[in-house]
Parts: sequence; structure tokens; C-alpha cells
Amino acid sequence: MTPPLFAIIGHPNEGKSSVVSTLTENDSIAISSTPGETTRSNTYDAKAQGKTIISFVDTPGFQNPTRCLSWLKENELSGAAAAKEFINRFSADSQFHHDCELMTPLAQGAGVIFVADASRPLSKVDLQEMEILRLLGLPRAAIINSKSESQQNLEQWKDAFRKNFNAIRVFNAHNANFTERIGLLETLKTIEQDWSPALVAAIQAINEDWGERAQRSAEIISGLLEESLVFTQSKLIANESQSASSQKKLKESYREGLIKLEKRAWADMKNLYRHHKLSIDFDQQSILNEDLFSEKTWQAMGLTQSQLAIAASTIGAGIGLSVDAALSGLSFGVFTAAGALFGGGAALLKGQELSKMKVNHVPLGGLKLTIGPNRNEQFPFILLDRALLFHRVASNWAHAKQENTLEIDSNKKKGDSSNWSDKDRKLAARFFAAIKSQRQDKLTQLYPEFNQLITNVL
Amino acid sequence: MTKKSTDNKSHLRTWSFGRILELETQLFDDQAVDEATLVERDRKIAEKIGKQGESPSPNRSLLSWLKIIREEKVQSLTFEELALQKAPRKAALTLGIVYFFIGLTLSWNLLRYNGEQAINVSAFIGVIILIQALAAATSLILLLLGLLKPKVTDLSIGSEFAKFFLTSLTPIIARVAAFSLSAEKREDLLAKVGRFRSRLWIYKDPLRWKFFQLAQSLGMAFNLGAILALATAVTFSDRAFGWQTSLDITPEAVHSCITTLSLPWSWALPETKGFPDLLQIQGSQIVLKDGILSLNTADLTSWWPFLILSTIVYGFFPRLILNGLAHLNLKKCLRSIDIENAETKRVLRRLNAHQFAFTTDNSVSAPKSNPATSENPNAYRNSPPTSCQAWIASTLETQFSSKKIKEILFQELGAVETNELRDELVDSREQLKQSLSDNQSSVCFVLEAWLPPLEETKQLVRNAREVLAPKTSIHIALIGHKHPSLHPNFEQWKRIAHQLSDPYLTVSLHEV
Ligand SMILES: Nc1nc2c(ncn2[C@@H]2O[C@H](COP(=O)(O)OP(=O)(O)OP(=O)(O)O)[C@@H](O)[C@H]2O)c(=O)[nH]1
Ligand SMILES: [Mg+2]
Repeated sequence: MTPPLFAIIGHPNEGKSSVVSTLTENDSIAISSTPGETTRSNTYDAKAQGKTIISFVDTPGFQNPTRCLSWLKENELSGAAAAKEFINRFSADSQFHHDCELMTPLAQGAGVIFVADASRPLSKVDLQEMEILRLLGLPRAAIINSKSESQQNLEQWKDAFRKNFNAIRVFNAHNANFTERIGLLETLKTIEQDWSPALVAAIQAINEDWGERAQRSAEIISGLLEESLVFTQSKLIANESQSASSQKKLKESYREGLIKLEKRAWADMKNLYRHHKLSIDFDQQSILNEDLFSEKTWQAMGLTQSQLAIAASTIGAGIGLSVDAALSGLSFGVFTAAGALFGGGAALLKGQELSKMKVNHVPLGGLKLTIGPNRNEQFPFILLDRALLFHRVASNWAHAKQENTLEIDSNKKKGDSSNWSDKDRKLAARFFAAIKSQRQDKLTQLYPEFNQLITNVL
Repeated sequence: MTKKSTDNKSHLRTWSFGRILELETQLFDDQAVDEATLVERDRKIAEKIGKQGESPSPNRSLLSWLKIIREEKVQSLTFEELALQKAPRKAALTLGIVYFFIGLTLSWNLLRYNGEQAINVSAFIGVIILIQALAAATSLILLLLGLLKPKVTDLSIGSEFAKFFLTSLTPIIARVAAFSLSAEKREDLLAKVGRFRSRLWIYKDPLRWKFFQLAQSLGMAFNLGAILALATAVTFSDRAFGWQTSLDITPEAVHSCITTLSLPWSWALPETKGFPDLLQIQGSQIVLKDGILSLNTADLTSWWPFLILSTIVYGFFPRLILNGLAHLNLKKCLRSIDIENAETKRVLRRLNAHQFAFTTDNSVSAPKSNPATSENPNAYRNSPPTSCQAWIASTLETQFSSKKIKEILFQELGAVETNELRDELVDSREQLKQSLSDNQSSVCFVLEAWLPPLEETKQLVRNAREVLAPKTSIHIALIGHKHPSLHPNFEQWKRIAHQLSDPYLTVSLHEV
């Protein structure tokens, strides 16, 4: 079964390429505010489970709507044949280059997705373009891709759309997430009976693919936790005199090592969701822009002290750190306010005490410094929350949005895990304990459970 | 021409190439500056011009404007910028020196003498004198044709090349750019090329004369080099000249030929002084097997006055005269040059806006235009013409009352006669032809600012230009509800205005 073919048609600069980019999860398509960015028709495939399920053609905008329409009317042609005839007639005329390009997929009988920014006034050329498409008579849907909030002209647009299209759908190319993408495909199903089965299959494949991605993300996250929790760094030194400076360096490299592990996991998730431009350097405001060990991160993510105490109680471990104990019961918000009073308290949270430094004498002389594995009870929850948040961004980020500013209200938003049920948190705590203790039997028992938990929350 | 000695007044009346270059540089620089800053700068300049009591003829205003800007700039000019200003003159001078040395070395080589073989004058005459005389003759023909029919010199090789470069190359650049550049870079590049074309078009007449003059100056330099080589050779060494040919030419034929050629100076320097006589010619014929010793010394040196004099008379003088003619024509062109085009009109409008504000005289027409300049810094505007036909896109009337539209147009263009921009006008050139009465002093297309320029709207403007006189102003007024998304469209329209290479086309944006 050849995948259905849809051409994205419209006026220049209305967001056609944006729509294609988001629908095909392709962030390499050129999008710009200068009209005329796209100069030829390019086909992009939407893929699921390694197969092409629908093809979309990104086209240049109409350059001669008035002249095209008058030609069509004069010649009384319709259907794909009309598009073919149009290309024959005008392909030698460089002024009609874009129009010929956009007619190419129509000559192949592609379905039409007309894109318009309904926040601007409806103009005569828009009506002409709709009329051209109506005369061509191919199955067609209209997408309202509003670039700004203004609703003023919306009704006018909808009216015009109702007269000329089989289906209308609001789709914001720069914000659309998975659900909205599926919604659009559902709409396309209705414009042509013959394509319905292929689209049903496509939607199913996409849904399954999405499930697989969640599963795979859960594996990545569990993997990250496993690696990070047993991560150690060590170094041989000749004698005590080097110890202080080497300890400092080793601590540094230990932190860097953990950061690297996290970055790798994030990059894996990013690839999974086919983002190549979305960079991990987020906007200054974003909590994800913060270092894994920054104070802000530790304030916004992870569990509150009481949650942590409860979760930890199941595995019989105390909170361990005296200052934490003194503060237990205080929420993080209070802790932040109190941070200044306690002075060293905040510093402690930043992970200086993530792990103890061990100094061993090596039989052949010299000393071995070892740092890790991580004993901080809060640390895995922080790591987990960050990964979950990143996953949420990566999976919802529209591919057309090629900048990487991220707005997350870091004041209100706690990491996910603080909103879980006690039961789930306890499961997580048990899983972390199993990793730390390296107990294989427990690990094999808990891994699927934990994975399922993550898959569900993703 | 613009020596320091020239008095200030003539400075302010006529254009020179240097001034034009300065003007163009300034206009180019101004493109990157926002309108509000320019308005403020030119308001101050207009005040200064006002103090000098200048009557505001466009040429005067522009020259004074330029002078004030220059004076202000001079203080802040860096060494590099100063050097850059002098670059064209320096380049011409360098080229002249190069030509001089080419003439010098070429003749020097032809005059090489080893004491065994006499120098062959036929080679010198053929390579230096004959070719130079031919070049001068060609220039003269071009000049005469050009004077009779200015169009004909357009066909000279140089302008053919320029035409190819500018006309045929643009679509090629467009094609290549479409593949490798983003829309913004591509459109910017095409706008630059287009603007360059339109500026060249404005100055095409003086430019032609400038190049003609340059060619003559280079010819003079070449001949001077040749003369210097000759003079040095005969002054500082003893050289034997002879003639030879493989053709069947008798000394008598050579003699009559030489005598004819020497007519221009024979009255002052007769035979044997200014040119060789028959005996000397016979005596200096080189017969290879005999060598130089069989020839008479006096005969062998009798040739050089002829060589020098004919280089001067047939090589140097014609170039000198042509140079002078070119210079006169250039001056004439510059005196009558029409400097008013869309870009300079913007400057004039800014200068005049101030003058309207300063004069309390009620007779000044269209005083309304002045506050608009500061109100709408986006306008890329035109000075108010006397009558204007406006063609309004029908959609605009669904968004704004026709009163509002007229108000905007009045501020921008003065009184207008409004019409609907019907589809047929876009669709067919014939319809447009019938509708645009060409007695209008300007035409304005009023379009939706929220739509980007389309190929068919561009074609509409091109068609309008074909129908209208070449210097009729065409204005594009974009009207829309205030929104940031209007700006990319306006930017694109400005690029398009440049790309169309139409020096009398302007664009303005009006946000309501
Ligand atoms: N805010 C917002 N901006 C959008 C949206 N869709 C497109 N844009 C912007 O609109 C401009 C044009 O988008 P493109 O996707 O390049 O439009 P196009 O129709 O492909 O344009 P051409 O190829 O020039 O015909 C870009 O500056 C986009 O950032 C949207 O949903 N929201
Ligand atoms: Mg595009």
C-alpha cells in the first residue's frame, strides 16, 4: 500500500513549512520570516516503526493567484489533469516557477492541506487561492495556523473555509503536540473515503510508535539511574601531601562524570523524538538550564524532606545527614527562605556531601582516593525529575519551533516525583536501594516494576 | 575639477564625479539608518542650510546637504575611510602609470640596438604609431556616433558586457542563490544587485563620458611612454635606424608615403630635418646579407625625428583632443544631470519638511506633509507630487473606511484620485495600459500590508512602468493593522523595490 500523499498549499509565509516540519517531526526544514523561503516542492515522510506511513509535500506559496485563477476559468479544466496542463503551459515562464512547483504534487493527485494564518484579515488573493483549489477538485482540508492570538478575523476565515473545504481544523504548527498531530490525521481521514483505511493504519502505527518511544525512554531513564548510582571515580596518588588538591580535583571530575551521564541520557531521548536542533542549553529562565548540582535544581526538584523521609523509611535507611534531619518536615519552600539563616545548609544540599571520599593505602605504596557511589537519598529523585521534565519537553516540542527557548515556571513546579503517590515513591526508593546495594535478585525483580511506573508517568 | 581653488559657489551649483560618488556613498550608508535618526539629522542640516540663505533648488539643496555632512564627517573620518575616498582617483592614476610604462617598455624593446643590426623602423611604426592611430580613429568614430545618436555608443563592447553582467546575470544569480542561500540572504543579494543597476542607470550618460575620457587619458599615457623611450634612446646613445620589408616596395614609394605622413610638420621641419629624404631612405634600407657596415651613418640617424613627430601627431594629439571633447561633454552632462530620483527625493523631502515648518509663508503647498515624517518613521517616501492616481486593493476597503485610506494617502502623497485595483489590471497588461492615463504625474498602488509581495504584484509594477514615462513616480503604499508580522513584508517590499531597478519607485508602510 503506497502511503497517502498530501500537499501543503497556501500563500507565502503562512507557515506551510512549519506544518510539514511538525507533522513529519523534521526540524531540518527551512522556516523563516522572510517570504519565499521555500522555492521548490519537497516531499517529507512521516515515519512510524521505521516505515513511511504518510508523505507530505512542502510547497512554495502561490505567486500568481489572480493569473492562475483566470487561466483555470478560461480553460475550464479540473482535477489532477488541470494541474498537469497548468505545468505544461507555464513551466517555461520563470514568473510561474513557484506556482508550477506547487502544482506538481497536485498533478500527482495529492490531497490538499491548505494552510492559512487566520489572525490576519481575509484577502482577495486568499479567496482566489481557495477557488483555485476548489476548481482543481482534489480532496482538501484547511488548517488554521494562527500566528497570533487575534480572533477578530476567525469567523470570516471559517466561513470561507466552509464553502471551499471538506474539513477544517485548528492546528498551531509551533505548539502542536502529539495529541494534536493525531487529531489532524483524524481530520484528514474524513476528506476522502478511499484514503481512510491507510490513515487508520497510519494513526495506529503512530500510536504504537509513540508507546514504544515511551518504553524506550523509561529504559533510558532507568539506565541513567543505574549508572549514576553506582558511579565512582578513583585516583592513585603518591603520598598524603598531594591528597588535598587531588581530592578536590577528584570531586570535580566525579560531578562532571555524573553530569555527562545525564547529558548522554538526554541526548538519547532527544534523538528518540527526532530532535536535532533542540539543544540542551535551554533558556536562562529554564530550570533545565540549571546544572544538575545547582541550588535552584535542588530546590525545585526531588522530594520534600518529609516525602523523602517516608520513602526512605521503607528501606530502613535514615536520612543520614544531620542538617537534613534538623530540617525534616519543612518544605523546600520554607527551606529556601531559611537558607540564608542556615548558611551552610544550602551548600550541603548542593551535593558536597553527595558521597564520602575514601582514602585507601595501596599495597605497593601510595594512596588510592575513591569517591562514590552516591549515598544521597535525594539525588536519584532529582535525577529522575530532571529526566522526566526533559522528556516532557522533548516529546511535546513541535519540530517547527526551531528556537530553543523553554518556559517552565520554576517557582511553582515541583519535579514530578513529589506529586506521586507514597506507594510509587516507595517503589522508586526500593529500586534505588537495590541499585546501590548491587543486589541482582532484587534488581531483576524491581526493574520491570519501576520501568512500568516510569512508562506510565511519561 | 573640484580643486581646492574652485570657489565655494560653483561648488554648490554643479555636480562632479567625486560629489556623485559621495552622494551615492551617503545614500547607501543611510539605508542602514532608521528613518527617525535621518529625520533628526536632516532637520539640523536644513536649519544650517536655511541660515546660509540658499534658495532650495533640488541640486543646491542636495549639494549643500552633502557639503554639511562632509564637513561634519571629516572630523570623524578614520585614516582608512579617507584613503577609501581617494581610492577611485588613485586607481585611475595607477592605471595611467601602468599604461605609461607599457608604452615605455614596448618602445624600448623595439628600439633595442646591438651595434650590428640597425633598428627596424617599420616595426616601430607598425606596433606603436599605426595601432595608436587606429585606436584614436576608433575613439573618434565612437565619439561622433555618440554625439549624433547617443544610443549607438551603448552598443560598444564595454556596455554590451555591462548589459550582460547586469541583465542576464541577475536571473543566474537568482537561480544559484535559490539553491544555496536562505531567502533573506538571497533577496538581500538580489536587492543589492538591483539597486546597483538602477544607480548606474541614473548616471549612465556621465559614466559613459567618464569612461571614454579615461580611455583617452590612458592612450595619452601610453604615447607619452613611447615618446620618452624614443627621446631617451636618441639622446643618450647613438642608434642606427633602418627600414626593411619582404614586400616588393621601392624606396620611392616609401618616400612618398613618408612625405605625406609628414605634412603636418613639414612646414616647420622640412625634409632631412623633420623626416628623411629619398636618398636617406635609400641609404637606410637594410639588406640582411650586407649587414650594417655597408650603410651610411648619416642616413641611419635620419629617421628618429620622423618617429618622434609622428608618435606625437598621430598618437598623442588625437587622444589629447578627444580627451578634451570628452571632458566638455562630461561637464555638459553633469550640468544637466537629473539628480532627482526616489532616494534623493527622500532626502529633499526631509530637508523640505523642515523648511515648511520654518516658513510661516502660507503659500507653501502641501504643508501637511511635514508632520507625517516624524509621525511615521517607517515611511520610505516620496515628495508630494501634484497629482496622483491611486489604485486600491479591494480587500483594504473591507478593513478600513475609504475616508481613512484617503487620509493616509493624502499625508503621504497629497491629493489623490482613488480607483479600485481590479483583477483585470493584474491579469492583463492591456487593461492596465488603458487604465493608466499617462498624463498623471504619479501612480500609487495601495496594497494590503499583511500580504507579502507576490510575483504578480511585481509584474503589475513592471507593467505600470512600461506604460508610464520612465521618470514618473510609482509608489507602493502598504496599509495594515499594526502588527509585528507586517514588518517582514515591508522589508521584502523594500528589497523588491531595489530588485526592480526602478529609481523612481518608492514604498511606504502605514500601520493603523
Ligand atoms: N507564532 C507562530 N509563528 C508561526 C507559526 N507558523 C509559522 N510561523 C512563522 O511564520 C513564518 C513563516 O513560516 P514558514 O513555515 O517558513 O512559512 P511558509 O509558508 O513555509 O513560507 P514560504 O516557504 O516562504 O512560503 C516563520 O517566521 C514562522 O516562525 C505558528 O504556528 N506560530
Ligand atoms: Mg516554506
